[in-house]
Amino acid sequence: MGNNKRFNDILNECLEHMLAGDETIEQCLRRYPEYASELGSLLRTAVTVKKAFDIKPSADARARVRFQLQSIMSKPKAEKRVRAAVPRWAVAVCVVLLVFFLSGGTVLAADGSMPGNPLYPVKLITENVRVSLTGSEEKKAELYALFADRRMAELDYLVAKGKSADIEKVARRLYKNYTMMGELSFIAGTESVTTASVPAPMLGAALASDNSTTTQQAETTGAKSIAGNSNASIRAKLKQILVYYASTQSDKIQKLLDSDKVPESAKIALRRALQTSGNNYQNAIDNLDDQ
Amino acid sequence: MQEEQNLIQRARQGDQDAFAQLYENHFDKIYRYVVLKIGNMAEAEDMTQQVFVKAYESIDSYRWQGIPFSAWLFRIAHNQMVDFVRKESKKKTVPFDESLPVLSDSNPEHEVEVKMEMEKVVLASRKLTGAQREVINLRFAGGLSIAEAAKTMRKSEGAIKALQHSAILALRKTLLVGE
Repeated sequence: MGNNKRFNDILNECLEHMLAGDETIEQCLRRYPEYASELGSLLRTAVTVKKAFDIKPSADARARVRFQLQSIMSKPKAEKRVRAAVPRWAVAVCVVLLVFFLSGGTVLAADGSMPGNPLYPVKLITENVRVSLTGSEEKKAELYALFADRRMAELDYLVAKGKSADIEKVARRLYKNYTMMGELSFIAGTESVTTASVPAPMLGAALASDNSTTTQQAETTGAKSIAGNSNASIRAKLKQILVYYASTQSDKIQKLLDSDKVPESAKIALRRALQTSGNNYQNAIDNLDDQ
Repeated sequence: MQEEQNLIQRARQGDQDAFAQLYENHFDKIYRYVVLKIGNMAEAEDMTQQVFVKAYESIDSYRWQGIPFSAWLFRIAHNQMVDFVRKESKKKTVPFDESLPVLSDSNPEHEVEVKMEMEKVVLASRKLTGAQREVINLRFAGGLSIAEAAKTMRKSEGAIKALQHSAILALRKTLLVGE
């Protein structure tokens, strides 16, 4: 039956009548006998859900909340602060430029640094700053995907260098990255995609490049990702990016899990990261499809 | 609708009785939506209160321009829930609150059956995608129309109907498997 429009309209029409109490399931099925089988089971499920959700707040709860609300309403409304209309992207650019000029290019140099390098903490701090200054949830999802890719590059580097002690730390950072992604309200599915308020990471080349391209190259070449277009094309591009990262990153994590150079303690975090990334990427991609 | 527009206009001019009436008109729906999202009665009361406080504080920013008041209210509720769920996700999974009120019934056995059914459905709904769960909560708990749910979620009506279909389908599968 799929999600075809006509069936969705019929299902909704029947639901509206049933929820309003002016039609039974059988009456609806008589009007649409060709859909009776699928429609009947869905409508019966809907009735079950409706009954289960029919929670009645107690009179006490209503009165308590009203009392609290009236206490608050009786106080004078606070003066509204007049915020200067400074776009978020402008603040982000100022912060990055300030750090750059004060640190003589440290931020840029830090972007490619690996664990153990003195600039590596600057890299992590800059990532946090970028996320916190990013307005839209979708852009945050893209950043988390990008940062997860950086963690993968760091893990490959550490495995190649035999730096076991740091592998677990980075693996945990990767897991936390996916967890943060999962907490985005966009992943919960209701935030709209807004046009870019912060310049997007340069991810276009990541879609066209092969696995040998380093994260830094992917970041600095290619077109901007999801800035400034219609909502539909923003979603389409973001979906493309997330699908790409979902498959390449899961392959990379699996490769690390299969490696005997990765300590078991790191593999525990990697397994959690693999599961979390799978769930969160899938939720994100599904929500982008839900139009 | 005209009556509600009048109430909103008066509330924006500082008429507390008008806002109190808006509260009475929408309390049940918001409370139901909140309690099913967070599964805890005591927290739901606090959260519902916060929704209406926020609505009261920002009623000046509400404009009757194709966005029903209910949709605006549910957006506030949703945003409050996002913050709450984000904090709660760091703790263990919130268990289902067995003290949730149900239809009043003098038969305790029936009440137990109803609560068990409710728990089954609520737990099943947690396996939906975020968007599916939101549509189900808005439509079945909040009682919003397709148009209102679409405005709340900033999606097209077609998208909401598609989500509604896929959500009910997924719930059917989960509930059948659980039997």
